[in-house]
Amino acid sequence: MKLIINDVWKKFDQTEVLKGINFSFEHGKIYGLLGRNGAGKTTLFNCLNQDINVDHGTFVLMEEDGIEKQVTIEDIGYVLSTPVVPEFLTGREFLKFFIEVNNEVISDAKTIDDYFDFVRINNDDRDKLLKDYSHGMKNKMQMLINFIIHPKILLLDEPLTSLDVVVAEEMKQILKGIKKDSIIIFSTHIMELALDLCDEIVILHQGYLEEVKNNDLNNKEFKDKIINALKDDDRYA
Amino acid sequence: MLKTFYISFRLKNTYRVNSIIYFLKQIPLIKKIISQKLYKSKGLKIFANIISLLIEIAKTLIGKLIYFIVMILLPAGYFTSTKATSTHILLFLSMIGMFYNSDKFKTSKDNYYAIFLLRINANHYAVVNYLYEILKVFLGFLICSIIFDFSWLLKIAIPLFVVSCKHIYNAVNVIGYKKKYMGKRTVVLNILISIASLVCLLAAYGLPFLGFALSEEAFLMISLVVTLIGCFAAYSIVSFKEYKKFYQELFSKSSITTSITSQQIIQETVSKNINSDTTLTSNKHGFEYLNDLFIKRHKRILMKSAVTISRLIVATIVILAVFVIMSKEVAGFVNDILHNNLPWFLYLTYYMNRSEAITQSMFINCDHSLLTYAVYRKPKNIVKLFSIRLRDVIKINLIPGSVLAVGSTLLLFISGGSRSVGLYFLVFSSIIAMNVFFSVHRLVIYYLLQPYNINIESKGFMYPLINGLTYFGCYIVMRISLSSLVFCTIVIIGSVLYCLLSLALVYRFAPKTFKLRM
Repeated sequence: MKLIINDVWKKFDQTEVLKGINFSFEHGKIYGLLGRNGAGKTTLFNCLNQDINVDHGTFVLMEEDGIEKQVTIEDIGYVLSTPVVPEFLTGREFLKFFIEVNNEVISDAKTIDDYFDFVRINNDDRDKLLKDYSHGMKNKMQMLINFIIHPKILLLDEPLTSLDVVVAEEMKQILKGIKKDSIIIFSTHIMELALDLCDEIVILHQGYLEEVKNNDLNNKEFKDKIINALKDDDRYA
Repeated sequence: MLKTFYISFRLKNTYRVNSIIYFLKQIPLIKKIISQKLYKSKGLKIFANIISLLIEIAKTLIGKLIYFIVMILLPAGYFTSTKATSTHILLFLSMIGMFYNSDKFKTSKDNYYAIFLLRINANHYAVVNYLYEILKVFLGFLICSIIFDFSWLLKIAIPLFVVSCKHIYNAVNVIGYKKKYMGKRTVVLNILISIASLVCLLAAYGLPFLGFALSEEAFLMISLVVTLIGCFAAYSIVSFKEYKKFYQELFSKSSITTSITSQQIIQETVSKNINSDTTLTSNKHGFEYLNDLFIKRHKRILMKSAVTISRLIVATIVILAVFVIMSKEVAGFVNDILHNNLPWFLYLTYYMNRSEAITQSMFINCDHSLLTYAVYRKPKNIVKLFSIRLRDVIKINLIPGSVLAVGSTLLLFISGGSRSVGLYFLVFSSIIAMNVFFSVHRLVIYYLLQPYNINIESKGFMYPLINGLTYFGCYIVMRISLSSLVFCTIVIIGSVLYCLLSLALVYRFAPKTFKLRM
């Protein structure tokens, strides 16, 4: 399965944020999407998630058998940097609701407690209102919801930045565990995190998307290569 | 001092001018022409400055003109035509205004920016801004007294009296801070103020109704006393030297400082309004389950005002019924209203309708988070939840709606009835229809024009425009003179047609429009 981005353009007022992006993401890999502040990472995610319309271009999903179809919102799971969960529900109620409304697409349904165990949420916290959850727990819930339905494409927008080290490590392990079934694109500012977790590094710079190959460089050399690529302001001018 | 005024005025003006440009950028056709760069365009800034100045003048004058005409002169003219009745009403209304419309030290964003971010001298800033606000009040009332041709003594006394009331309120506020009373406007105090205001309101209109009004001389004497007290109050405000601490205290009690990080406001709003009782459960499934829990955990905000309004309606109808039974004149008056002025009920129903508050809490506490999940945005699910919500929104609004409908039909009966038996049915069902109409209307425009973005900021132009047009439409209908027979028939048929049309629009378009704005 591949996600193919074909010549995607997006501008706000007179500012062109995406200038004809062409790229192909494969399943089974975690892609680290790096870019400077305001480079357009969230815009790209919002376009993919159909929150905003692109000016030009398409997002296509190519299945194993070679059949292509347009990406729909049902194909996507989107984890935002600030977790958004319905705070008037308890964790258990949220999961119950979510499983019920997704029963057509969940193929390997587990019990609610199995899901809680999967993201290591304590028994005591499962029946608390989500408004009383800590930031890290809300983040876990948001990720869990997205894992349950096994979306073909999982977009993660800076999801681990504000988590404590233990939770961040747990989430990393979970992401590594589920990557075989999905195309995971992980947007972050933190290069160490990207290098540690991701299989491929892609940079979004000056409106273009480009893979940075490791080419057997050591960690330091690879970091320098990425920073140079992001610094290179005149490259596409 | 003057320099501080100049800086703070420029700051306020910049804030207002940029808001005007931002507003222009929301208008569909104009936003195409205006680019981001135009925030620094001199020509557009001058244009926005002129609008800003006009708004300032309008705020100073127009509100007070309307206040004078609607609240004072028209009622005064109804009772008698003497100026004494006008000053009588003004005196008591100003006392109510002293409690509810005097606070000149507000926790606005520009105050926060000036005092805490730009670190302008808080004492100078507070005093010059206070004096500027007071000057606007003074000028507004002075111009109104000139326009409405009060005697020369009253031309001076009226603005001085009103301004002095405001001085007294604010001085108590400031001195209260010194004595650590600030923010302790307790429930008891609030009840006392409410009772005092109610007494003032009854005195303002009730006494002239019974043929009694304070003379102009009495007003002048009271004004003189209040103005003298006002002078001391003004002195204590101007000489107060702890405005920084005062504002710190004020802001610590408000959410304005956190509005800069709006996510915190969301948390605050959400937490405040959710009933934390997790024993409130539901045995429904899917979207019915979600909605059921939403209603149960938000019962306080969803139902409280509907129940309060219902109680008020019951109280009003009981009082009216007593008067109707006791006085033939009142009975004739009420009967005439129900026969010929039913369009007023549209206006009343507009205000009674709780749907805007309901849709707001639906967004903040539910849709804001769930719209980020794909399953929630599936067209069939959007329509499914819409139908469930519509049913419950109508149910909530029908609490006061049905009380009003039953009460009005009852009043029609005891006030002399109607020759046409069908009118009882029409009065009852048209009030119900109006309630259903506004419930459908509000929920439909929420689904078709979902105005909020992920930061819970209202975006777009259409939502406030449609709201404004709805209000305007109600106002126009209220002015039209129609017999209740014709009006009720039009309302019932119109409501049914409107509901069918708008439901069709929601089913067709909401799957595309009901999403978070970016």
